[in-house]
Amino acid sequence: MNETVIEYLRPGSLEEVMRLRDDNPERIKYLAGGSFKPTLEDGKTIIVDLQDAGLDCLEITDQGFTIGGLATLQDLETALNSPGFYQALSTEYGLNVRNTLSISNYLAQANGRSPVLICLLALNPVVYSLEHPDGLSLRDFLLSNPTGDVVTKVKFPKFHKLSYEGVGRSPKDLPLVSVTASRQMDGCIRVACGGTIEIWEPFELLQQVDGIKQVSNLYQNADDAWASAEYRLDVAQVLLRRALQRLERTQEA
Amino acid sequence: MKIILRVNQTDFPVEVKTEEKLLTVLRRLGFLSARSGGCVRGECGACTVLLDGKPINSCMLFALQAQGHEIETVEGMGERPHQAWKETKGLEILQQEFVESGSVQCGYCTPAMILAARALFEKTLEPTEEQVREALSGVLCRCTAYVKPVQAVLRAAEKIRNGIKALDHQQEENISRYEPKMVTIDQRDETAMIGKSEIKLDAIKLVQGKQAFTADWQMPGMLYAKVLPSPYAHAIIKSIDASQARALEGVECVLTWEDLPRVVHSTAGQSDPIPGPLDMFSLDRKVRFVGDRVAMVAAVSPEIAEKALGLIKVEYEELEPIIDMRDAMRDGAPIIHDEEEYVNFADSDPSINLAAKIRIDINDVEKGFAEADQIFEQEYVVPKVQQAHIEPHVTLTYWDEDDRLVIRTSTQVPFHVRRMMAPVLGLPVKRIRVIKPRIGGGFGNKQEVLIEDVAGHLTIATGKPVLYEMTREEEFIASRSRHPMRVRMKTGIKNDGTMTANEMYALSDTGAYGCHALTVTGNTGQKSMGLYVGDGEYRKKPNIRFYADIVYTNTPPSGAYRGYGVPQGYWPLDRHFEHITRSIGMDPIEFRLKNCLRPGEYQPFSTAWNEGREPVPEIIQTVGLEECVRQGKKAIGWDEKFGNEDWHTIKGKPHLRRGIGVATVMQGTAIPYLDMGGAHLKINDDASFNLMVGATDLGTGSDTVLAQIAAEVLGVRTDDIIVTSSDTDTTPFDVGAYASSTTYISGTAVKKAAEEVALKIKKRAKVFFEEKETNCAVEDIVLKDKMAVAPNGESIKLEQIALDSLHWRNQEQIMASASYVSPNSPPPFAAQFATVLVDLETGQVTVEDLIMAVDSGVIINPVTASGQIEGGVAQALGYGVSEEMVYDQRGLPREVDLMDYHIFRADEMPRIEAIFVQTYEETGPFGAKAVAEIPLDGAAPAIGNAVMDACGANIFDNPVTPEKIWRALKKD
Ligand code: FES
Ligand code: FES
Repeated sequence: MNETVIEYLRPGSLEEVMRLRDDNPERIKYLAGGSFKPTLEDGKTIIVDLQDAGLDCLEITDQGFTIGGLATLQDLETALNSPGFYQALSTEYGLNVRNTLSISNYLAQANGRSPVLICLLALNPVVYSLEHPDGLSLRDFLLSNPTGDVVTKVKFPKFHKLSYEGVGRSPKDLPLVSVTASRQMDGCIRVACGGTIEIWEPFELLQQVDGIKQVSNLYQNADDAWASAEYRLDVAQVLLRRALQRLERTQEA
Repeated sequence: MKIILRVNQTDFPVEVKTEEKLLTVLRRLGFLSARSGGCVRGECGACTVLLDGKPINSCMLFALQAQGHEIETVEGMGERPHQAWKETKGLEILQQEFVESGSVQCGYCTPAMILAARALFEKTLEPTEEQVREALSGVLCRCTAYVKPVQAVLRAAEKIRNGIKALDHQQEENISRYEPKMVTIDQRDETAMIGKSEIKLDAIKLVQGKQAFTADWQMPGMLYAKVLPSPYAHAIIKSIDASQARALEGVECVLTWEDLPRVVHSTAGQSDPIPGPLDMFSLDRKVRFVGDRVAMVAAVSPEIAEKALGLIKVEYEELEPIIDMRDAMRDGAPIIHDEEEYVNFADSDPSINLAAKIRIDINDVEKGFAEADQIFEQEYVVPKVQQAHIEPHVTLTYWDEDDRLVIRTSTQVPFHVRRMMAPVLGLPVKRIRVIKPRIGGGFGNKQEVLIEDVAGHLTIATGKPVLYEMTREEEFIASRSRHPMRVRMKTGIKNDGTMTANEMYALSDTGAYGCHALTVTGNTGQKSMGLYVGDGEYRKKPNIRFYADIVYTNTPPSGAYRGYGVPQGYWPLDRHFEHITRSIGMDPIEFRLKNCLRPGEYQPFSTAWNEGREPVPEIIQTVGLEECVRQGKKAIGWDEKFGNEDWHTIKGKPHLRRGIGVATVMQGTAIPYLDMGGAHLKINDDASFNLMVGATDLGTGSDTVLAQIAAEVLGVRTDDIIVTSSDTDTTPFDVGAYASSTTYISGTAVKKAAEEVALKIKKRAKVFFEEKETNCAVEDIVLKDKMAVAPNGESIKLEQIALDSLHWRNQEQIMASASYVSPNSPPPFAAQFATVLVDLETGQVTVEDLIMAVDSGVIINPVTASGQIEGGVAQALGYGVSEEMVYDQRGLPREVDLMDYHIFRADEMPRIEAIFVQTYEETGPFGAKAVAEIPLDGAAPAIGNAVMDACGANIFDNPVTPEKIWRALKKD
């Protein structure tokens, strides 16, 4: 194989990255932190390693926090400081992956089976990327076919509490069904559901009965090789109830 | 591109290719402790290094990204304390604890675990067990169940806190040891080395991450092999065009079925004649499962080889596949093996997709059913599961200077590799040399002669060294797995719980090829049903029937997996018994003990079956099962929990219920009149000994156990025995590591050789004693503490005798060779207990405790033996709750990686404990029986029984998944 790559660059800021991008959009391969499958596609002759571009920082404000796309999942866990998120994250990945995988590369391959993603959907962050510098909702970003794009930052609104419930074959198995509920600062509850590869739209919850209906709608055709729709539909309702109870309990506490 | 990597505080300028991963470059620089588990998704953690102090997977970064960061590997930690005249700082405490605790089994994951723990120590030296488990959660280990690694880390932290040095044993009194619980009901010999937890001979090199495994050897001009897998489950290759692949720069060779001689063979690594059909070729023009071989490529880099695969153009004619084993013998089913070269074994019949057939009738089962008060019938299903050893299959082949083909390979059966590869490669046996380095786990999957032909053909074609290392995906789609089966049980019972007849029919799925088809499935009946004979008059004439049909399907071939068919027998048998005891209202333990085999009785199957050979009736001498039950009950708290409603419920959580279950099991110890092991032993000038064995230590510690046996006989220390295993040029023949035979068979061969050497030493000692006017008979001289000691206390150092024999007078090499084949197969027994927590609303089951009390005869090395039990139980836990391989109607697999095929991590393990009940097996070396396979047998049914105890859900198919429990509860 010919070694055709001619340049390896580590730009020192996002502005510099954008300049390079404007000049050579087709030829650039971005290295956005740790990835499950680091590969170099044909035709990419400029390697732009983003690790010095300031994309791994954390900024905390009154409204929430913003974390860089090159921060790792472990950094995100530290920033969120939520037992619910920790539970989901530690179910999905052992410590090494959490330390290695960047948020950007995680989002590039995440699907509805990922408990981490279900948590993020419930938290409703805004994702900023090279392709979408003005930001998109997380779900819209995921539906935008983000492979090849780089997440520059993710902005999380302040939230009160997050609770996660999942059922797998073992405590750290990818869940067959998972439900996450977050209580936002305005008291609103936002629910995200997962377990199948599909990424479902999270919903705001007014009353528990609504939630049951919503969950039933989501799971009614959720058959795959891992579980039946019938099972998922029934268990998701249980998990929703538990997630909400957990939010309640926390509030009382 | 030139970069500088800073590793262990030293800068390494290195030329890298842009797309090279950090893992690849570190290994090229000689940091071999970073190992590849064949992952594509950062799943296994074998490649762990510390990057700026944090454990990361080095396969998840390009090398370029690591520039400017501090990388640490275990090569930067401690080393062996003395290196000749050079004093070193010695091993670090963490490394030393991994060595002493028995945490190093195959050792493939060990450097990664040590680094993960080291990073934890930077945060705290007072870690809780939970924190340790979390720290290790990124490193998968398939050998240890993490029991000893967790203990090692906790103990290392304690030592560091207390300022104790790595080797300072005097100060350690207050720190807990690693010994398992041992109960001795019969032990005869006074021994010095037997029963001691000697450290594993290979542990010190493995905690340093030294060159040890096949892929650690690099050769000049070495090529990398890749194999093109079939995308179809059943198809004819109509045409294949490799011209573009061959033209790709860096590709040295592409082979298709048109290029190779057609040599029909089997890949089952078994003695000659292989007890199964010959039904496969290195490459064929028909493909029989998704993942079957289509072409092989050798190129100067793995990336180029991979790219070349994509350039091979293949036109297939798809054929109807058989995916469900029940369809294999239906009328009009497609025929999977229609090749004219097919060679039958026994009843195999490819025209009806039958790879093997078993019909065993012991006494009169119909009479037994007629005498029963109740008959219970039920069908059970057991899944296909993967061995999931962390080191993938890997082979390096090259021509040596005498044009002999050297096969350095991660195998359990080096001598079978040599014999079986000879015709396939077109070489006489004498022109092949097989070397087995350390093995990163095998669990039966490396009893398969699976990939040696790929590298071999490519070396023959190119004349160059070729390395073929399977990826994790290939392990799932193209290696071997446990046979899935559908098993129908029928059992006759009298009202007092006496079993009058027991019948099992197994429909077994061998997949696309018939490797181990007959012998695995034979074990399914033999070693499970053989445990139960009935009571009273039935003990003399048990009524047992075991029939099986082993059929071909278009799924990946099944093969050998630790337990070798027996776990498939115990799931249906023991679950069935649980159902029976609950139906007749009898205590489950009482029922099992009432009907089980007792000392002095025939293993009933030994009168009727011997893996396709002449049966060898065998009376069982040692049965420690009752004591195992007693010990296991005590350890799990059976009497306080079983039937105690309070214990079953959890206050404030009505949706949760606890349950407790038991299973009693039996395995085998080697195959009588077949398994043979050899040993060669010689003395050196300093009275150390070289022990050459063909036995294959695949991480089990068998080299150490064999050294202990030799050391015991010779009166020396275990580390005075230098073990070489195995090299077909220099070590004697051994069938290899399977059938739990190494300690028993190879151990007896070692004992015999050592006894002969000891006799020669004593004869020489007698001459010395006579010179000092001490007269004694040779048989009265004792070898101990590296001396020969006369009855009057006069002694002479063995070193004197060694020098005398080699240099001074009547020179001779004191040495001996011996081999052993056993007429017996004394079974180990065990009682497996489990407690679980079941969520009645979701069906989720959490296993809380797994305790196994085992009668493996006298335990030669308690720590390594307990490691075998713990690791085996963890694999069986997966068989119980989470592991299975599922295929869609086109034969496409659901599981191709370790995310979907979930094996337990350190941070989710239940409590696992091993207890040994020592009987004394007269036929075994120092009273020993087998250890390695029995832990696979009982955990799944014990978990199934505990689930039933918790909530009444009687699950017939393992694994016991949440949806199955939920369905069972809904039905009720
Ligand atoms: S995680 Fe890197 S090789 Fe498995
Ligand atoms: S010792 Fe951990 S994988 Fe073998």
